Amino acid sequence: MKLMNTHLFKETAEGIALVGQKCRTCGKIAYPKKRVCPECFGEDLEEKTLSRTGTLHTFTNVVLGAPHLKPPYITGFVDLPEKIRVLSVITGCDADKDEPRVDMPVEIVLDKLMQDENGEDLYCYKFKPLRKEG
Amino acid sequence: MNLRDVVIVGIGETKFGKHMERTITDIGAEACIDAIKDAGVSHKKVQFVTGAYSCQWNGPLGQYFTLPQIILREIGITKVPMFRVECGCATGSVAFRDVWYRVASGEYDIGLAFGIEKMNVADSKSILGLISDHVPERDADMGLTGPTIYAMMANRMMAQYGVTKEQLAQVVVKNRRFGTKNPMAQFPIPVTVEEVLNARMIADPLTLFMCCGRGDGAAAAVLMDAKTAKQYTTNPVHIAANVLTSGTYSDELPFVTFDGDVRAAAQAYEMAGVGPEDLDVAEIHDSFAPAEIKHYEDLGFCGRGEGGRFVEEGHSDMGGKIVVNTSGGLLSKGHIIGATGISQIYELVRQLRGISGESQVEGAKVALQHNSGGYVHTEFTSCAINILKK
Ligand SMILES: [Zn+2]
Repeated sequence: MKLMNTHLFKETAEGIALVGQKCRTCGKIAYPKKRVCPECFGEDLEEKTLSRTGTLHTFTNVVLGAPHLKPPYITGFVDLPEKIRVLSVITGCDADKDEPRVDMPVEIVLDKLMQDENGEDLYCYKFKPLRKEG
Repeated sequence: MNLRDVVIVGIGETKFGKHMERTITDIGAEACIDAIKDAGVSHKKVQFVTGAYSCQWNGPLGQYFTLPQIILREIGITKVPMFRVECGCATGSVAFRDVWYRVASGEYDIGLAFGIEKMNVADSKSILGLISDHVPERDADMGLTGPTIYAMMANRMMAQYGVTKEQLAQVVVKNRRFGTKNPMAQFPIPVTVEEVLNARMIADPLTLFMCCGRGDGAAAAVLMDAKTAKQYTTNPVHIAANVLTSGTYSDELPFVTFDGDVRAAAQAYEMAGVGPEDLDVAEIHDSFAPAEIKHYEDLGFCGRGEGGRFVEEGHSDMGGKIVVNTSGGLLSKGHIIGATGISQIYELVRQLRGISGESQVEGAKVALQHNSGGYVHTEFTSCAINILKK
């Protein structure tokens, strides 16, 4: 499986998760990782694995959009509990369940996003509706 | 620093549209000649020039270095300092700000600002690759385009405040109606709410008519300190406030507002000593229909969450509280990146001179121009506001 944008996420025991940084001086969490803490300019930083679930702040169903994605596709902002907002493709929505909708719970998933110049599938993070088990 | 009173003495603009047969140099020369003639000043009196040219669209074909010098040489303006600026869709306003500040500070007495773009030269595919290779979050990979930003905003406004698709369409109907009166507009064709809602879907809920087009064109303005201007005009337009901000890029504000716009508006009202209730007319950055509704709120034209009703009840239309985008806005003119900010000022100067013809707001005395540009992570990168007074 060929991954893309691997600076943004990593494997964990529960599945993939986005990776940012936490400042050991002021506690600021930032994403993606940066050279300094954007709050206090400190350089004493640790890797911070972000929550795998969040809420869909807003979204759009795109008909004419980015050429590397097959239309229609859904893109949206996901709010994570660490107060990080991340743009993501939203997958696995069921219109009969009124998905997607503003403020619905979502979880991260590894999925095929696009193809490279040789036609090989590239996998990246996406978010999908978080459904209660059973 | 004590800033001098700076006034706009001359304005010029080309028709916005497809000018495939013309060079960018010729388009720029036309607007600059117009502004200099309108000012009634000798071109040899222009002491410096700042040109707005974002150039993004020409990138794949090779950028034009020192475009201001090349354009100005064609009309005999040589030897003086010249600058080129880029700030995305706010590029024109940043050139205008540079000229305003250099005159306000006393460095020069007479300056020329112009904005230009020729966007019908590059193919769309080559442009897309340029958008976000430098953005750490890789937003373009995740499907971000210009319309998707405002489609996401529209969906949040609809969920949070009950904004309707009809209200989005009403922005387009109003601006397109104004656009039919503007001979410089690229799309001077009126539309109905039904036509807007039934147009091709781009990114739900935005249809084609809710998205501005691109094009070729230029706009220019001659600025002077008020004392020097007395030799040239009895009808100057004063720059009562000029503000430029960059984005906050909040992860927490609801995606119905841009903090940079809110901050810029507060600074501009304070600098001009006026409030939104004093405004007669405004040109605001309607790149997409929901943007105009957002701006009503961020600029204080109405309360938070009331932007949809503000357009629906006609408060931004002729006869309303603040008449917005009498030029037809970007939705009628097309968004000629580098030219847009100065084109907005062109319309407002005409309003304050009382020569806007069928779109004239009776007795207009105070005007606001708002131009925002660029985007990274939840917000515009630049916001420029000018408040102009008769
Ligand atoms: Zn810190």
